[in-house]
Amino acid sequence: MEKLVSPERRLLLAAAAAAVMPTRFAAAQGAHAANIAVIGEPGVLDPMTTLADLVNEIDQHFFETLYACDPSFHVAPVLAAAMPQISEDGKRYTIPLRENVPFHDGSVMTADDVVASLQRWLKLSPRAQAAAPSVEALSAPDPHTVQIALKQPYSPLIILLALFNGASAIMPKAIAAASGPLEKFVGTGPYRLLEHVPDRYIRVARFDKYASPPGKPNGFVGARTANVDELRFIPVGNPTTRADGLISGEYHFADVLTTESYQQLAGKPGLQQGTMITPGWVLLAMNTKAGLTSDLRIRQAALAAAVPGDMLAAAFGPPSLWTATGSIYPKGTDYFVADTPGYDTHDPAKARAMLKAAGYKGQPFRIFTTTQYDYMYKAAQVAGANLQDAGFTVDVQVMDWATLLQKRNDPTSWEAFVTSSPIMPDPTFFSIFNPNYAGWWDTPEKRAALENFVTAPNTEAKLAAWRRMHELFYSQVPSLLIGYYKLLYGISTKLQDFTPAQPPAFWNVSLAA
Amino acid sequence: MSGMIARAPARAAPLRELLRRLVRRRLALFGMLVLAGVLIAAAAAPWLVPYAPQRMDIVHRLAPPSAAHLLGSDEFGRDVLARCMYGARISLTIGLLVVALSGLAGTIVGITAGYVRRLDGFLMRVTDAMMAFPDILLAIALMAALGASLYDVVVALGAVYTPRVARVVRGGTLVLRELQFVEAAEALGAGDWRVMRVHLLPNLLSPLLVQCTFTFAATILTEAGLSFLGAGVPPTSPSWGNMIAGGQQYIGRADWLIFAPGLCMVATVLALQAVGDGLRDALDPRLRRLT
Amino acid sequence: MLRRLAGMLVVMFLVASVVFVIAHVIPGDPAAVMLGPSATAADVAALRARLGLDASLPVQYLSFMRAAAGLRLGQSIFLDQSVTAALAQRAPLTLQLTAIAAAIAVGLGVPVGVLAAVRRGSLLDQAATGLAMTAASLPSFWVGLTLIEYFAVRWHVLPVAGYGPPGAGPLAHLRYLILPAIAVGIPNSALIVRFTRASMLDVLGEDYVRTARAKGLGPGAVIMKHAFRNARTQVLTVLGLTVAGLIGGAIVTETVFGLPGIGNLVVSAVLRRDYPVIQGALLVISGAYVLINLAVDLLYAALDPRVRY
Repeated sequence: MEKLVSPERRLLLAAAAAAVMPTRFAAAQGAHAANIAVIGEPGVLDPMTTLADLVNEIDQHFFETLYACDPSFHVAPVLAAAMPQISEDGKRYTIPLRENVPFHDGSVMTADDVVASLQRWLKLSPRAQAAAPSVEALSAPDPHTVQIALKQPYSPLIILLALFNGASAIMPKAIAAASGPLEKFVGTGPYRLLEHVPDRYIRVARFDKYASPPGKPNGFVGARTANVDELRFIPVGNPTTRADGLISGEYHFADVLTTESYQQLAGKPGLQQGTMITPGWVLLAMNTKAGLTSDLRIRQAALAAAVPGDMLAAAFGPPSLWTATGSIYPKGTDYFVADTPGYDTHDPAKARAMLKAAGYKGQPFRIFTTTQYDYMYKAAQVAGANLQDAGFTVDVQVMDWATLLQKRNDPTSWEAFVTSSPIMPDPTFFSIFNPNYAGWWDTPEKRAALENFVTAPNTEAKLAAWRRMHELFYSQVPSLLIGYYKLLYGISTKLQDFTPAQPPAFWNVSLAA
Repeated sequence: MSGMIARAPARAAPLRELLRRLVRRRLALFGMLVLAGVLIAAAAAPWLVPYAPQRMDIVHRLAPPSAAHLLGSDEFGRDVLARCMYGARISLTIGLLVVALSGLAGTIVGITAGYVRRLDGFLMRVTDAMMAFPDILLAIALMAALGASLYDVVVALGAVYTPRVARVVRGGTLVLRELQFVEAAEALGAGDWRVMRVHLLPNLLSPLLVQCTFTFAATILTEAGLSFLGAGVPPTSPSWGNMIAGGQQYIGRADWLIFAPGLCMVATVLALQAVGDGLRDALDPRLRRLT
Repeated sequence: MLRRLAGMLVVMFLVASVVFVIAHVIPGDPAAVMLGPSATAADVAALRARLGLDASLPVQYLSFMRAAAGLRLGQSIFLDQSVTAALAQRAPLTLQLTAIAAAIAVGLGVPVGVLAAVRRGSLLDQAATGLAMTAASLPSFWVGLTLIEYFAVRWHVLPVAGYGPPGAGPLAHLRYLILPAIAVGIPNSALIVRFTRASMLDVLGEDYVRTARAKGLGPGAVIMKHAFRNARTQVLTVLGLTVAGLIGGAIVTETVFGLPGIGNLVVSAVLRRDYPVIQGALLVISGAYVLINLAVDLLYAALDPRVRY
């Protein structure tokens, strides 16, 4: 009876004390770690095999590519020492490499590593499949030079190498050349992968021997410095919870917020709302292969009936968070096209007349959508209402995302679905131009325009070819571009010097105590 | 469970007698009144509220409860009271259909297992296997397989609750078949089918009724859970679970969005349980002694 | 006893078959989900082939049953983990959550039930019965949402969601489980209140309790020594029944609180169509349920000599 408090009881008391301790205590424990709430568990972290933005967002901290893009989609070297030398005929690329760039395992990057990595990339990356048929051979004439020989010119090659999506990440030869799933994540990035506990967190720690590319930081190009000791990417599926956790101090950054969770942050002390520099767009993809919408006149009627502003308002809320523009590229980029005939006509009477001319007899216009992405669901609701106003018989089918992705491969089962895409640095990277992509837009005119674009010898020819493609997008109406939306995030004022690039990168940020 | 059918040889109490007993119990009476209220609200919704459940009014979105919107408005400016009433339609429809489906299927399985001994082992092992999954988990998996319409929800939940009904019916049948009047009927040459239909079924109605009431309550909760996880009725329908799921992100500014449908659901489930309890007591003399 | 075990094996075989059938009639394609919306059918087909999703159904069924018998659950399609590792990593959390929730349900339910029985017919009894019925009518996800809003977002007493930071001790993790455990525990305490009350009433009416009273034993001693000891086998039964409710509650509640447990794993596996994980998790959850019920039956026999298997 000497002990006043038994060990069990003490444990209980401690538990009770811990329970009432303010939440900030948890954050204070790791003063040098930034907690970043991301949209979910990324799963396999292989940077080449997936197109998922979430994987890119995390992987870009430990893997690097030869080149990268600045916010206006101009390419600059990262692991390469300079821009490539391209032969007269456009079929030989010579890429000089930076010297003394260490991998996380201590070895130093050589041309052999780069060749092996690019070979793995050409084999496995869905992105690389556009380039792979054009590639003749890869070689390493000396330890600091890589050569790519092409069978025919392929102008998007360099920008493809700069794209961190199905990325041409550079890793040691032994790892890149091994078959089977990627087991070691050894890159050259400013952070190295420390620990991945699925559904809990991914920890990356500063790589002390990191060799940064030179230059002033601008988006993904220029110098990279890891100021924060550790970054933790924490999967938080619910956007409201991401915002709540930011408010309560558990997270320093809340990625991809919905309009509502974004507005929740307004006026909260110690926090800032933010939007990414490049927007994304929403699209109503249509089925050009079979059924009702294989008739161009029906698609044109849909274009005339659509009210992009209403769809965007329903999906994204206040007008400050979206732009109704029909150009595939936003204003201020090289590929912006002002002329978008038919966009935002909002003329149900005209659409009705077009339907009549096409002999429309009330066949259902089936729109696939999902509630897993709130904006897709809301945009589809309004799209359905718009088409109904013009005399379409609309059938909005709500299903879960996985079912949608499968069912859209069957051309007899749908007329349209809502999807979205980030703005790609090169137009050919948009799936809507891929003839195999659901929608199956593949007319001779489009094929010719695309061919001209890919093989264009210079910038002027490229821009001319692009304008032709844009024109076809509005005359053949393979899909309806609804407009742009801003990608929203919230950030603690403790996390400083963040550049809102998409996907967000956390080198060059610093964490105040 | 066996207590429920202790008085089985006598026919089920006549309806009026049953009602009289129910009304005498305060909790059961309260439950019946609430249920009647929910039923009226669901049936007469178009005449009771001046708003259609889908009518949007973006200008007055997220308005707190007021004279114009008694329970406030939601993120599209839709009237929450109207949606709660139409939500009652969906919940009650699903509940009734699931009760009918699981009651019918469960009775057939249960009575067969209890009376036709050859099939008992197999049927009960299948039932055990189905019951080894938590309700909600089995329902999620079935919904992913079936689709997302109201009828898919009914089929999924019907499949989830059939084994439970089957269990109760089989238990009752096992007791009944040992009783003299069943043996007498068999001795007189009545076939299996006739024995089950004429002699067993009427005596199983009481426990079945009680089980159905509880199934009804459980269905409403599970359906809401499914909707909340995005695996229930299409989000366009104002089911209570969908309303809570949709209101979740506005809880900080507009907590009526989750409290209104939540309270409707709690009240309905509570009323069903009270009625179920009352029914059990009224039908079962052994339990009645205890209360 | 042996018959009981044999029956259990048959049930597990049927459970495994049900699991296989369900997992394979779910439409959707894990490869498509992994690749995201911009992938084409050709990309998806290439990935499917790499993941080995092409085998015919009977072949997949046979290999699944064979593997399941040896508890080899395969490799997750989406996660960089084997299914066993994925389950093992998340199981402790779910077990803790279920255990704390069970403690809350029993700690609340048994005393209230006993009190209600002892003071039968009193205002206390009526209040307890009414409250229990209300608690049983509460959807746990709704309770969870409300708890988050008040205790975490408005009052900052407990964390919003998720699980403790890396390297934190068990106590820090415990803080993240308090609200979810309450959300699961409260609705499940109701059944325990009602069952405890009914069994206590049963026992209190028995002769030996009357005898004990007649001997002059105080009410406390009568309740604890005689009545409760005999009612506890009944409570054990109801605890067995509650396990299903607790596991079901945990599945939804983990999703509400973003807790990385088995419930969350299985819900996201369904959304991602990660078939090996769906199968493995369903198998393990239902297997646990079957085993717990077996354990309850055995304990029941141990506590009550009249019961034999």
